[in-house]
Amino acid sequence: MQLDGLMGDLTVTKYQGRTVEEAIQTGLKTIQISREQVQIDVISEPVHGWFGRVKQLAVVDLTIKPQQVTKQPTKVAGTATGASHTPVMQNAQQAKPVSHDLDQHLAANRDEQIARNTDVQADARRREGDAPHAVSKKSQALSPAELRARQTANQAKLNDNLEAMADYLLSALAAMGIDADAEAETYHHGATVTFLTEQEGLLIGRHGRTINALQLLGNTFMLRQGMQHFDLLLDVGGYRERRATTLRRLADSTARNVIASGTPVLLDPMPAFERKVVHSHLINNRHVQTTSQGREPRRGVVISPR
Amino acid sequence: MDTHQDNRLTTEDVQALILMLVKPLVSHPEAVQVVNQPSDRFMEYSLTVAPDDIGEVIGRHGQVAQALRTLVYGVRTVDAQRVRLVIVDENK
Repeated sequence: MQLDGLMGDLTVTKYQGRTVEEAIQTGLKTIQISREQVQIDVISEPVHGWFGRVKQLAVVDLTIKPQQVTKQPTKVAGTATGASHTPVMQNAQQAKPVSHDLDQHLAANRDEQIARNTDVQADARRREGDAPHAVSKKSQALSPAELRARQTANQAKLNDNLEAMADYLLSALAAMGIDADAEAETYHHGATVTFLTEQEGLLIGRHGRTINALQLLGNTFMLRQGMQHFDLLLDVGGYRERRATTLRRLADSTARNVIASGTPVLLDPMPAFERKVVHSHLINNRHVQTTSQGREPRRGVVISPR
Repeated sequence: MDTHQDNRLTTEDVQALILMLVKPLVSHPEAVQVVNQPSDRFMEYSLTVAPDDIGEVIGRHGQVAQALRTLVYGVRTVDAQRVRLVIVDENK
């Protein structure tokens, strides 16, 4: 029976929270157990950053106390060597080797126990209605690692595609006779590619036509690579910011004329992301309202008196 | 204009540019062809792609086609002749 108790000690799980208390509650809720039934080890206290933002979460370790193990690990207990070696199995972190010839056997037993214990936890999580990925073996211990692996894979895929896209755009520019270099900056659902070139004017084109056409082709390219909902923005020499400033000034002066004359004004057609600049700039102007009019390639903002 | 002399493209350069732009966007890059023929005011480039790729080249509301044209029309050619891009739709 001592063995059963020691089995329970293997159920070691780490939980995070903004405070130590929150981390404990999260843990208790996840494995559906009462506070008396676990041993709580605080691994790290939360670190607070600026303006109350939590920089680093609190981490607690919840260890289910021996008597709480419901399933009896009869299989392990039945092994001949089981009873004498159990202290080693007590906890993977505190394990102290007894003798070398037994290590291999112990390791095998321990793996089995870990598998069992995680299954118990997975059951608990399933009861709570958690996602099916929790069912996978070792998921409790490895799911953050697995998550990270997936993130890394996604990141690698994104980087590959981004590189291919940059190659595509740069060779297009080269074919047009523009020498350029590119650097990319990614965020969660898109990227900004900034070109460095001597021939900025050529790359931008009249009213940004060339750079917008390139941007559209770049987005189409990413779509062909299977990157849906990817948002690519091309920039050269701060052009986008300059353009946004111009658009805001245009929006302001047009709004003034609209208020003075009382008649709506249709601005020149512009791409969606430029219309957005105008819309969001005038959103707090109580005297005018903005809508868009026309079909997509020739869609423009209408500023009308409210 | 002398400084940009080396930016001027020959007919082959323009063809290469069109092929380079279109090929990554279609499912059958080997079927992409560009033929050029001079007309009275323009140099016309006829782009042919596999029938099931025509949608990819035109795009939603003709966006991709328009972007392609914008880029191709923007180039300066050696003989200062204007470029025109015709997308040949065999389905019609």
